[in-house]
Amino acid sequence: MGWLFPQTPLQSVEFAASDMMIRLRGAQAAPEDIVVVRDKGLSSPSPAYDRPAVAALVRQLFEAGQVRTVVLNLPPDFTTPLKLPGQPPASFDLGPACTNSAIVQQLGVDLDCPLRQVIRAYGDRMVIVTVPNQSTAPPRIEVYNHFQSFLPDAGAYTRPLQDLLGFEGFQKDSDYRIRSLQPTGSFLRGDSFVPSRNLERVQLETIFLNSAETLAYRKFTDTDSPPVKETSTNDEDNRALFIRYLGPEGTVTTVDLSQVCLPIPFSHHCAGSLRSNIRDLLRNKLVVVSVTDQDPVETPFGPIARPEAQAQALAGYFLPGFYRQLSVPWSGFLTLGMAILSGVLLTSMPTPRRWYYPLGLGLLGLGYGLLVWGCLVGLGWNLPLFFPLMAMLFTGITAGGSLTLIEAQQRAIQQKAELERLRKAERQAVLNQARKLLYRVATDIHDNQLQELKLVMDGLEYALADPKQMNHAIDEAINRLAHVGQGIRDELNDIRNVATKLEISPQLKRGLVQGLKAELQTWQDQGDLTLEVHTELAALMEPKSSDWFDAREDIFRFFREALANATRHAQPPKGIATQLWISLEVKNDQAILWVENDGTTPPNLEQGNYGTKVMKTIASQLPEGTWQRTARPGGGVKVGLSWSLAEFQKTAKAISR
Amino acid sequence: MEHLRFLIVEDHPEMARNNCEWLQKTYPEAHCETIENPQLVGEKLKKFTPDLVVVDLLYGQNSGEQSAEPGLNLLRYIFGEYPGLNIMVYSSEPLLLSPVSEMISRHEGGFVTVNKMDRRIRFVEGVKSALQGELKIPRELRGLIKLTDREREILELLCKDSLTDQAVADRIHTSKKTVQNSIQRLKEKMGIPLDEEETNSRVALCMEAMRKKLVSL
Repeated sequence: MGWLFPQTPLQSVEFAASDMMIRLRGAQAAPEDIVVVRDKGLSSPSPAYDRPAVAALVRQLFEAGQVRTVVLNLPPDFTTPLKLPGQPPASFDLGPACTNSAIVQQLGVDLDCPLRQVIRAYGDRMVIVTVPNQSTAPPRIEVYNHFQSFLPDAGAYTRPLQDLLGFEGFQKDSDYRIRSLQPTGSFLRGDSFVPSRNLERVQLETIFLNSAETLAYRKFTDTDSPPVKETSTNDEDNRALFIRYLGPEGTVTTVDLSQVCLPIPFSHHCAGSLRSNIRDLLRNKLVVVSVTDQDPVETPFGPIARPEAQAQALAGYFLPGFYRQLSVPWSGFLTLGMAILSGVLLTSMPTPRRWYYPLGLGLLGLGYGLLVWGCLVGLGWNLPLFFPLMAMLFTGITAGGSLTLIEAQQRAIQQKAELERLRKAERQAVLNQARKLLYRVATDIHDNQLQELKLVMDGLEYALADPKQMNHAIDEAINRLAHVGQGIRDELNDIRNVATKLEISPQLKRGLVQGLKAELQTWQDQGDLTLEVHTELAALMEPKSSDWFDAREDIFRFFREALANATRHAQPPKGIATQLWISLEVKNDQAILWVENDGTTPPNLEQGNYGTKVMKTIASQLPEGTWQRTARPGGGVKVGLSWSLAEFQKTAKAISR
Repeated sequence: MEHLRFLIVEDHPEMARNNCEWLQKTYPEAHCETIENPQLVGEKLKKFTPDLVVVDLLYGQNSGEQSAEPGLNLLRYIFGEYPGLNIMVYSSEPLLLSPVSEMISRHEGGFVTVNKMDRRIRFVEGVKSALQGELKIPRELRGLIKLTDREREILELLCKDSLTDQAVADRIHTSKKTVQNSIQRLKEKMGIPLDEEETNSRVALCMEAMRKKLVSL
């Protein structure tokens, strides 16, 4: 994403992440071959280095200090030639080569001469740093040709400009920090003057240069490494190098300017000689010199003085080299890969995702952070950190959030479906109950009232054949018809009850056991049940199916019948019972409901009434349903209903599938 | 004349007793036996072949759905094992017979249904009809009753060839009584009123047969 939005704050975050990793690695030892010479402020006030003094400084480094290579940063005002008309004052000491009377008379006092002489003498071991002016395209550089010796006869400088000049290769990122170094580049020439008309055309051309760091390393090692073709436009050669900063300012050995050369105004000599300890420090070294107070360079380690930043960048040519970076396409692939990886890993987690979801995301992020760290420290690869992490996080949160949302929706749908199924099951159970009750009423009318009516008709028809019996027959018919009427009225009452039963018994909404308890409580609250009640109701895993709801209604009805019988016949004043025991036993798939009282044991337990008929009916309609009414040991009656739960559970499983 | 023998299948003891009494009132010499459980009739019939079986359809079950099944199963058994046995269904719900209407069509013995809630005179009439091998079923069931091959053949001879009962009997090598019974069954199955004058009812039978394209002239 950074390569899509290179100037966005997101890129700054990526930079910050990269800098953090570099800082975390800590400072590393600088190569001993590199020394910085700059104004560290040891002398107060800081000495001013004019052009002859700079020449004196460089000469001191080469001659007294015996350095091998000098990288020279010149002050900004050195870009143009500086000549004074007339004879030089007596205090000027520019050296015999620069005070030749003929030249002075012809050109005046040439203050560039001492440095030109030094460059002429040591140019093969020197690099003059020129800073590109980025306001033009291509950037323009000063070529300091007034410090070059021109050979009129040859029509050329004694040394090619490309062999002396090195541009400052720092590349500024969008957050104004310097992290990379451009090894080569093409620039517009900014000649300070035209030494020959022959060169007028040349001066309009672009010039291909190595960076100061690159050129300095080549001169220091006296090799062609790094191999840079002078006119190369090859992308590979020109690819920016990611600077392996060694640490904060002061990491590279630094010597104060005044310790090398105390300047004498307008003199090509230094005041005093070089101390031996400084000489030892400088001998055979590559020295980066700055005689001007330049702005520090912003680096991952904070602001570093420009010559030291150059020195640290230069260190990249020494072991262990520059950091390597992924190209833009590969960075994109890595970011995309992390996004895909996080998506795949997180979506493959088992559901429901809870605490381990953010944990997984965190571990993945930590793992990648360690990978980046390992690559940085072990392999010198500076991999992108922020964008892959952000892509991973974004994908993870998005995928996780979406999946969580989908799961929540699915749960809601399942809950809704479950409620709907429950509602349907209850409705079906109600219908079953209503159907059974209506059938029962129809059967009762057929079995009882219709038969009775027929017998009345028979009686009357008999009487028609025997008129003597008529009065008796009519009397009996009236009695029997009254009985028929009563029976029909009872059945009609039952039908009304059916109408009121067209819903699941509210007591049973919370399950059979709760329903039994609630019903007992109701009977007690209403004063219908005055016996002392003992309950022992085992927990029942109730299947959620219409079959069970239907059966549960029947079991509940059985319970109420048994309760009604106990209160009518065993409870005072009709009976002598004092205790009532209600128990529900569940063993494997079998359940049995007992209702017992300690009243008298009736002699005709086998003969049923209408209540026992209902119990018999209910038992016959339950799976493996049986009922029994027996004498309780010690007196009383014990009524039990047993049934199998297996069939209901099987049905419920089939429905849930 | 040999004494008639009746078997009453009825789960209501008082009703069964009354049925026997009315039969014996009509046929004083008749022998009447009752049986409460229809599932035991098979065993009974192996030892005792009645002239008429009076069957109730609904039995003392607690569910209306189940109550007709014992009676219907008994009829299926008789239709299968005793195709010539005379049957009278004496029930307050004769329409419950529809599941066995196909078998009623093929039954060769008398088959009469009487609503239990009718007066006893209908009971006695039904017994007589059944003993004569007639078919009498509720109007609502007639549409479900189909003609047998023998009945189609008699219908053809009666309406297309205009044969007399005796001629039809000679043609198909059976008795005149059998032919007359078959004609009565045809009338019952095709919904021809039985109380009309005989000639008119036969004409009506043939016209109905042509209307239903059972016979073409």
